[in-house]
Amino acid sequence: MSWQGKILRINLTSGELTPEPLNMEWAHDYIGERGLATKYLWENMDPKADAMSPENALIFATGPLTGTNASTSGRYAVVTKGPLTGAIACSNSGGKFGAELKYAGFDLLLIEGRSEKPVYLLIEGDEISLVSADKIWGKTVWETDAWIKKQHHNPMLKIATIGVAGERGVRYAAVVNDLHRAAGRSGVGTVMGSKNLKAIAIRGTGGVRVKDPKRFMEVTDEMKNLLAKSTGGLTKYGTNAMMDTMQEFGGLPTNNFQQVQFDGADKIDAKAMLKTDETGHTNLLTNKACFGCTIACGRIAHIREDHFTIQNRKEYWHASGGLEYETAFAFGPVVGVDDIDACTFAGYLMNEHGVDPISFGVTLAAAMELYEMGVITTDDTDGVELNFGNAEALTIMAEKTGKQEGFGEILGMGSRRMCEKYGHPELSMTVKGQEFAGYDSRALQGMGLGYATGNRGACHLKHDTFDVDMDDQTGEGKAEPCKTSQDWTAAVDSSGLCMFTMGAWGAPEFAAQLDADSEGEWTAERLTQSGERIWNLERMFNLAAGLTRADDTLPERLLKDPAPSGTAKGRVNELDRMLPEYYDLRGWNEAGEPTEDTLGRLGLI
Amino acid sequence: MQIKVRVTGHLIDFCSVDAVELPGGASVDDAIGLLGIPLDQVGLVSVDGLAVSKAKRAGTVLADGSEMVVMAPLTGG
Repeated sequence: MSWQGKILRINLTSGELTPEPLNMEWAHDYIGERGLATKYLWENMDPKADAMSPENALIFATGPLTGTNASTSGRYAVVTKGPLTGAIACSNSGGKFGAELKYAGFDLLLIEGRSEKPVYLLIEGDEISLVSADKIWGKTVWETDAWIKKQHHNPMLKIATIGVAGERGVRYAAVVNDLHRAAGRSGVGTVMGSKNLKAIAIRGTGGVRVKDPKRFMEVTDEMKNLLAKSTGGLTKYGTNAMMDTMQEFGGLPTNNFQQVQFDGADKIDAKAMLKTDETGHTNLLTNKACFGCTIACGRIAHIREDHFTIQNRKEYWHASGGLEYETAFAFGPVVGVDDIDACTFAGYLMNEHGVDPISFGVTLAAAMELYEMGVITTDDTDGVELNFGNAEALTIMAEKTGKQEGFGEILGMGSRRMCEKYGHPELSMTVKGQEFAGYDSRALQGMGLGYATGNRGACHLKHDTFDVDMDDQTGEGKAEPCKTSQDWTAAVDSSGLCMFTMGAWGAPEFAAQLDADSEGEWTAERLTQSGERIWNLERMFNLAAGLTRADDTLPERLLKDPAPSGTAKGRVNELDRMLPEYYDLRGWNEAGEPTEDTLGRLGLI
Repeated sequence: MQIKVRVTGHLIDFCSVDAVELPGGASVDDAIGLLGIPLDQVGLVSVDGLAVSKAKRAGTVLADGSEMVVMAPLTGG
């Protein structure tokens, strides 16, 4: 099996570092990564604890397939109680860090307490230590990565770190690994900062063993071939290939969800990234793969050196992470900006300072609406005119938020807290306090149900109703695919593999790889039921934390203001119709609580 | 008859024209087939701004001058 059979408990208050055996019973019941970390969180903290307190736990977890020869096996998850929502926070990432953690001999890191002074965790071969981070506290993600490698004379270290945003309490700070990949959502970097933990640096020189090497090689080869036929243009165009689809469909949130189509979409979409301008400049340089990935959807881009964002800043005259769909949405339509270089630069800043681009963009969009309503003025915004479409305002505010300067401190509160502060909570495009991704739920009804019931708040990655939503724009029949795909996505997120394989691989394909990898009989049915168990345990955490049915809702704008254009013109989201059916399918009562029968069936009592 | 065509996402790899000649009575599925776009890679089609579901594509007849948009499936991300 590819489990190392060992976790590391890190008590930052006492400084104790304690290797412990991996609880294999939990690994069997919760698969790994997201699910296993949820179980460890549930057993190791009180869900009522303040997310920013030492009583919160922070878990980095690999899956059983992380670091193996399976395609996309670079995934790891960060799970904690979220400071943006007060709900469970689960954010996963690719890059190389996850596999390195496995190669260092650990399946999971369980971080507790709070260090008196800033530290970073160093795992280098058999040496494990907490090292003073005095010299890198206040440094960016990129500076921290370079400093730690230089300090330890080891360019092979793989580093996950926070930027200043995480240190200073931006509610949606990210953990960035390998410079450009991030556990971006739900403020997992904020929790890391609250613990005075700047970074985790790992060099692992071990490997992984699988249960049946010959069968594993055969099945993973077969799966790679299947994947190669089914990537839907991800390799060539990246996820931003969805921009023009959402534009034509009429589900592209624009100007803080006031519109659903954006006139400038064709200036920032995947084709625009490939277009060579009159100076010979092309935004996209190449694509990039995470560890073990045969898709390579990552984008590497560069910005015109004469663009206003970097013309006097040579430190940015280099290639870096380029636009993906969600970053293009968050710096483009939702704030009305159609300047591809400004959008790309905002993306650089998010990685450099460790900020979730989705939450930043949607929070800025709400601020822009407040500004255009006259609720806030240039007196509030450090003199910046915060109109929709102002590309300069986008990049100035991205930097201010990352560095926590001026109005950036307000933006760092997140949309819900900021809109409440200014007396207009209805402008916050959030669920449970977390900002929406780039899909308008008046056009995508099942997406709306998935947003409303998302355990970490509004999230587009914890269910998959795209096919049914595109084919039918009513709420009819959406509860079942939403529930089923939530369970299935929980299983995929727990495997150590990437959800971008889901178009090619279903439950039998995942089960075949897992069964060749790990002990126990892994079947499609078992995987699916494990996913349902994980979803319900996340729900139990949220209920114990104090969330209720009232939190399973959408902003009034999406429930009452019809889509003004597009193929869903005139529609609102039909949540009232879908939610009772969803609870019933889940085996939850009217309060949204799992019944005893449900908990018993899933082995949760 | 002639209809206007737009495609989204990676479907541009299958279809780079912006108009197509079709026989009278041609359906949406006929047009997609003539354009060389694999049916299993189509997410949604709209005709003159109105969505045409998968079940209705074969029975939806195009008119001269119609504007058809063939959208790639969504994948998240």
